[in-house]
Amino acid sequence: MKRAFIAEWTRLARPRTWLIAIPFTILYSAVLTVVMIVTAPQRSFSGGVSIDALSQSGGGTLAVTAAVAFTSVLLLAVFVGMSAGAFSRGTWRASLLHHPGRMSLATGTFVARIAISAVIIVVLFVAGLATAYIVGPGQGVDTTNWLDAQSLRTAGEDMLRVLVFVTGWGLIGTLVGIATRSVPIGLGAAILWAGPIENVLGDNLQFGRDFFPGLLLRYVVTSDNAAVTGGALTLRLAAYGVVAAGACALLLSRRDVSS
Amino acid sequence: MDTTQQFDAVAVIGLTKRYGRRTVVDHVDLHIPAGSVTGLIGPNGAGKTTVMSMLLGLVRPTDGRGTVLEHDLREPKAYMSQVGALIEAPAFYPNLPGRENLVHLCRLGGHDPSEIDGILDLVGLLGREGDSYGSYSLGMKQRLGIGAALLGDPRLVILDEPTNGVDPAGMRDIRAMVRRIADSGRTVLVSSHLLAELEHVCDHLIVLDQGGLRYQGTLAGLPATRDEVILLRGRMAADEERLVQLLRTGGHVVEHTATGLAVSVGDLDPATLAGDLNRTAADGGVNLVELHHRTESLEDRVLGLVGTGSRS
Repeated sequence: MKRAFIAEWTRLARPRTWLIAIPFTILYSAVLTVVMIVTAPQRSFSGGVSIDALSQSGGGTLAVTAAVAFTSVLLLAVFVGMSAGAFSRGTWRASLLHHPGRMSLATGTFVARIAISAVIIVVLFVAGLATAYIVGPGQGVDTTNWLDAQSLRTAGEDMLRVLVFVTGWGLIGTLVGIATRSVPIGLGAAILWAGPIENVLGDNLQFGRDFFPGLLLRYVVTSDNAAVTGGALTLRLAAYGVVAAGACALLLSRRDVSS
Repeated sequence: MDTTQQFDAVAVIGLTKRYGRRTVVDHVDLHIPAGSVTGLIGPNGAGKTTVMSMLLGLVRPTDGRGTVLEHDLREPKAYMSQVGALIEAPAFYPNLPGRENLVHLCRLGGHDPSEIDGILDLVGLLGREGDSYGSYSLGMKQRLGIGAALLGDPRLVILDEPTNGVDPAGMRDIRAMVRRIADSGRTVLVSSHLLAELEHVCDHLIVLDQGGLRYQGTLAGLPATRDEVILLRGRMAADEERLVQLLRTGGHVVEHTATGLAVSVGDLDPATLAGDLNRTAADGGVNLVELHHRTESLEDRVLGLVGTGSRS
């Protein structure tokens, strides 16, 4: 697994990757932080982004954490593309010839991709905090508590929650990619699920609000209108994680590798 | 080649692969001598790639048992560190340079990256290793694929149609490359549907057709499908008629063909027989305008075993 991790990390962590990912992340973080702060109501009773909430300890990263909820389709597309592309391009087959352990190859590769995502999350938060510092005071947000110990703890928790969100969508995307082994089919299925089914159907059904994995992942980063929280949310996401990882393992170990 | 190696690099019995009701490989027994260059030949759809994929652990056999490099066929993790392969088609990251693609595979396989320069030199890509893989020609992609198969100094190299899509000059280079790989003491299994390709590099042959084994052994042992003959043509028809009488009197088996006469070689030495026939004709006052030994090409013999139909 270590060899697979290092190989994938080194492949992805190239200057070209950062030259694309970092400016895009900064731009995305800045734009959405501005939008979240500018459109925030004075107070919110559902636990979302508000001027009052932004003015608390940890308010500096509140906007960017909530903004991450909008990245689900992008995350899904990226992970579907990477995993399905490995099959359609033949790089999965070529990798197995040098690293025949399928499970350790897949796990190391996935963990490396999440590690790259973690770096991007840090950039996202730094850019979001900087933007909030610039925009917040002009919108009536009190920033005096943003750098106290509690704020730093909250920022750490927020980053961890975003990492769970990214890992969750990454796992779903990887599963879809492995199952379909085709980028266009995988993307079609993923976008259909993450878009209309999760957000339209799921939002309008109690069952969807309680159990759809995408909505559960959204509750991790924004408690706004969360139907499930705390232990129940953790338990349901953990169950989905085990099922998705098990399905990936089953598909990878049982299926023949041929074009 | 090290001829002291006596064991089979691959020894499998009853190798079978079924997809539902369709049998792609049907109870194939394989014995690939260590140190040999073995050609796996057959028309498209014969099961060559599936056989190779099963040896590489990519495709799970439905049935069959055996060993690869003295390890159980069903435990590919145990032997894959000693096997290099190019299977189906070269597959690399198009945005990475050729060298970086090999470095990536070195990291995955735990191979020593310092061997990359030597491999790039062997496959003729030194000087182009910094170009992105996506910019490579088909021949260069094949060469890089062969180079990837040599990472980690494998004992067994499996190459699936390495000359696919390559121009004639490139084919010749790849043939020479395969020979050099074999000369370094490795066992090479190379597949092709281009029969003439293998004739020049292999010393052992496996013929597959419709998933079944049709022949396995040396090239020389490949059964002939028609009699070996000496072909003769006289200046005029009357010459040939006279020659038939002379030869039959001498005990030869002679047949008329569309272009002349065919004398069966049987167990005789073809060169000696040709000399005798020439002398007989000259002594009988017959003017010959043609005399040659008709041998069967590998292609003729293989086609005799598999038929001529391609199923792809």
